[in-house]
Amino acid sequence: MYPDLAIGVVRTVRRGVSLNDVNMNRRLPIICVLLFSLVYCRSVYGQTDDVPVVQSELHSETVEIEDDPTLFYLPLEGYTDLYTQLSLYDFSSVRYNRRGYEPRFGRIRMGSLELNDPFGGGVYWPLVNSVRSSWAEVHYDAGLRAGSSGVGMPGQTMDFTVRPADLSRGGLVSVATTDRRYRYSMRAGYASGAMRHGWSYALMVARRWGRDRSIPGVFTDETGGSLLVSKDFGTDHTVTLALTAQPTQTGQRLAATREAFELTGDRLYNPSWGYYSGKVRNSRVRTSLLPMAALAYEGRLSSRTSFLISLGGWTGRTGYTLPGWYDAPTPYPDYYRTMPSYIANPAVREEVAAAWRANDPAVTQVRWDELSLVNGQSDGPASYVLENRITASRSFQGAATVRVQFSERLSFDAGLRMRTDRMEAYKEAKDLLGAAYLRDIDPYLVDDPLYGDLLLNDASAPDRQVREGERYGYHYRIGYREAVGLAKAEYARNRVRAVVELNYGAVSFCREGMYEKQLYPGSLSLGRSTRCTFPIGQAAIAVHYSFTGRHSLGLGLLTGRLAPTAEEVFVSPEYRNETVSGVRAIGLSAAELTYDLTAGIVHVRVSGYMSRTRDETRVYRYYDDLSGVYSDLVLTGLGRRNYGFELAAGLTFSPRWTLNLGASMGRYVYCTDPAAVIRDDASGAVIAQGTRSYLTGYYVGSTPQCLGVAELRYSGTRMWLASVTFAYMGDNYVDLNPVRRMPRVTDRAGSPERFSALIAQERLPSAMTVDLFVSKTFRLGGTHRLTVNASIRNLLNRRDIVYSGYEPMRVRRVGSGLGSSIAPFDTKYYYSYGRGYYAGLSYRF
Amino acid sequence: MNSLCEMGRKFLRGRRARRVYTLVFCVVCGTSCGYDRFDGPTRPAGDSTRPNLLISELSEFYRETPVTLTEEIVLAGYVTTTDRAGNFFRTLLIDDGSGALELKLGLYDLSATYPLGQRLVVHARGLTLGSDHGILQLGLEALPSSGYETDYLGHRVLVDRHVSRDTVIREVTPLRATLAELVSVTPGRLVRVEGLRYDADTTICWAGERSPVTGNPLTVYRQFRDDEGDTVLVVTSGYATFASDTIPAGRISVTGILMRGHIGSRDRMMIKPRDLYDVEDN
Repeated sequence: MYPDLAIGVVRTVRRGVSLNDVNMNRRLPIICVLLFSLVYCRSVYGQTDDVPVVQSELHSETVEIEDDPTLFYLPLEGYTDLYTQLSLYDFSSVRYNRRGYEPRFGRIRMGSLELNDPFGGGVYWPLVNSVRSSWAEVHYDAGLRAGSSGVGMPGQTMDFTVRPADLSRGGLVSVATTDRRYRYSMRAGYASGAMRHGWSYALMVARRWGRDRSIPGVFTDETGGSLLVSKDFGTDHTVTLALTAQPTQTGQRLAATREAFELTGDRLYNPSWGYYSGKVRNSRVRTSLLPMAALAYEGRLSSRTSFLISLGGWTGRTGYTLPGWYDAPTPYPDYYRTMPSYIANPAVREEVAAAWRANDPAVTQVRWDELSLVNGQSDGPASYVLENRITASRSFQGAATVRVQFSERLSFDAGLRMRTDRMEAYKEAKDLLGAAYLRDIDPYLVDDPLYGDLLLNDASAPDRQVREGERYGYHYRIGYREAVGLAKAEYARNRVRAVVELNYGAVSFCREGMYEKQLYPGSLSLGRSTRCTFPIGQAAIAVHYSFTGRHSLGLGLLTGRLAPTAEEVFVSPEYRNETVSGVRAIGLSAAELTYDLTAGIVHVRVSGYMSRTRDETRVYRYYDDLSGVYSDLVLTGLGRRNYGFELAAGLTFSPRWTLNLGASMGRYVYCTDPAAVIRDDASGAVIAQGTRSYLTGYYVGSTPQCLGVAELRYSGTRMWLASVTFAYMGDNYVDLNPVRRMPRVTDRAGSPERFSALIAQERLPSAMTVDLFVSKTFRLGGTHRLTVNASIRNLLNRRDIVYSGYEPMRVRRVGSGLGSSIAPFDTKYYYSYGRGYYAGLSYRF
Repeated sequence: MNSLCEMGRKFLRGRRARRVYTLVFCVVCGTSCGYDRFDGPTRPAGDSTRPNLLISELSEFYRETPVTLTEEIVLAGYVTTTDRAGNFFRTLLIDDGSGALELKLGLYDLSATYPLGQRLVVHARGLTLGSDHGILQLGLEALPSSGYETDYLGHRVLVDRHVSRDTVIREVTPLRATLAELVSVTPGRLVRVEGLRYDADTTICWAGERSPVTGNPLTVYRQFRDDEGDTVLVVTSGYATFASDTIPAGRISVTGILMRGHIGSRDRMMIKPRDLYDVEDN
């Protein structure tokens, strides 16, 4: 409403002010500032906490991957191939990993700075997003090819390049509005281009804020800034500095069961929020601040020899909140025991179901006021707390490479890369919800018959009363070191280009406990663990042969070992130093064949790929229903096989009309039955060993294995651009619970039907979306341009698209006596958004 | 359209306008939205409703068979039991000084939501009045297969409709009595009996036996005797946290809820302690 008002006022002012009015330039900006302030204040402080009355389903979860459409419109993106360009954003209605590979099988780098997370195996997305929001150029790719930056990796790669001197001089100001995860964004930046004395810089500031229009509790409050500076020393030496920081706070969404979605009639139902003194409060809020700095020095020692030295790193913290409870009912509204399906009494079941159908927030959401009331009933320790799980990360990396150009055809690179990271994890009592203090004890041992008197999390402070903002629970550090030697040879002659790449090194992990847990006295939890070292390395070769300038074939091969993560090395890193027995570096072998053809108006690329992993390790920390204790499940010897093909074709019918097509069909499956050991988390006693989880043939979940996209694009005169995109996502499966595929569980299935229910892997429904995009650019003279763009996602308003799903780690007993059996817990899902929009205005000068 | 573009050019390219943009941007970037900022909790006022019936008067509605109450009956009492040690499970008792009443709430971790001494107000209309082990109880109408006179409410949706909390918390003092005097005490009251000895020479746990059929822990009745030779059974659930603790030798006092039941061929008095703090050496 308010943006419309602003435009209306401008028009009114326009009519009332002559173009020749000399004061127009003074008055109009002031008026716009006033109007903008009104809009901004309304958007920041006036956003209603009223929950929209949701009559039917709506959208999807906020996970680490950023599919921010504003980033799509940055002009500094490059793609090796058409399929990469199409697949980056058009499959955002589902959780998607290119070719079924997790981020650890890809690569995300800024120069030589690796942006992966060695502790959890993922990516530091707040870091990546801050770099993406800057002036850095980003190049996306996937697969093994004879590329300029090496052979590549089987999975998605993202390479950021910082070269402010290569940027055109000018600036950018943009504003936008959307309805997913936030409402408004602003961005402003300026690049100096190459200036006198070899200096250049580029500055960008960005802001996103607002509540999700469809999902209560979901919001974004993010501010980012980046500064890139470079100095050329003559023509042969350049020093570049990049600084980024992006403090972010986001409200998250949690998955829910089909029962919850059906009862509420809302496929965007979010159980993580509730009313707190009449306002919407989310129990799952993520925060992050990871300022990063990177320094690179490129130079030439001679006409044939060049070098690159990079230093960089980051320090900061990320965290997320969630409720904790001690000897009290769970605060989660969709706990399985409180759902109608669990209630045996039909009259009670119907009463509860009616309350869910009426979307009574006392039933469907977190009861913050109740939690505060319980805490305030006594002067004793809190029964409920809002804890903040903090990870303070610090990384320092350095790399040095030397390139020797022996001839026009042959070059050789050699280098060394080193990295040291430290992760410090702890939790804080963010909000005691009206209680005065909290006892720092392990809530899972309170009723334990054997260990109920070993409750202290920190034996050095037995009677400590934890106040708001103080640490408790666990406190540990994990150190990571990596040193890798690199060598690469490139050969190019006439039709042939070949790249051979070798790297070899080692990584090591060491845990340092800061708390002595009473259950694990002495060095079992306190102090340093043994240092675990893993040799890693890869050998890769890629050859590209051009039959003609329009017709070529490429082959890539890779084999090697990748490092495990800290989560896979330590059994319970939160509170003990024990390492997983038998953990190894992950074996990886991959091959890829690519064919390119350009004929007339058609450009086609087909890639066939396959890969095999070995010796993967997984550690699951969960409540084991069969033994009735919290347990650690270690799977070793896990292996996967990914294979398939990708096809991309671009047809340029005319200078105006282009049709881009993409298709991918793959199979990403587990190909081994990993050895399984289950141990009591409290005592370490073995619950099950010498057994396996039978996973062979199951699909890797949370990524569709069959994809298709068609984009029809029109580039009109006067700088119009429009496109319509059809996307199909199929063969998607839920993430598995390995416990359900173990004999100790399946042997207790009371009937063939129960057995099938335990071992079946749900296939998620296929999804199809239609997206529209339109853009118009106005030339304002010189380099000044004003661009208006808008997009509608999921034009058909498909609200039955499952973003992802997973099987909970628990099973439940059903029946009694001879009729007793084991049944799986209900699968949890995230649904995707319905129809959504994005509209933006950007001004470049 | 052309004049609009011309205006746009002049507006956007003006130097003064750029200063304004910078100022606006700094203001926008410098402010935080505070979506996760909240003041302290506001506590709702408790329910201080006065009862219109004493618990002792409620017993007149019970005629050896469960009855669903249709009158607008309001009761109140103070919580006398806790489920923290697991000897009471999914149920609690209140005492208003005239008598005691069991509320079959059917929830877990009741001690957090309804702590010891909490004053509760019960709107009994629509609930079923029954009895178990001599104790009056309120719950739902029992299912035919239940075997009990009342069923659990089972969910906060129903519990909140009938039970509300006051802000008053006052622990109930147990009635001190000898075993002989317990005969005249209404079941469900919190009592304390001193000078009891375990009525056997063996060392044994409070509970620990398991069903030979299901393997589930059993509720166990241990007989204690006072100096006058009167006996009482102390009731311990096999799921209680102190079930495997050894019964102290020598004289002890036991605090707990008084019950009456038929064991073997005769009516027996029973005491059900809440936790091990209810058992003290004399």
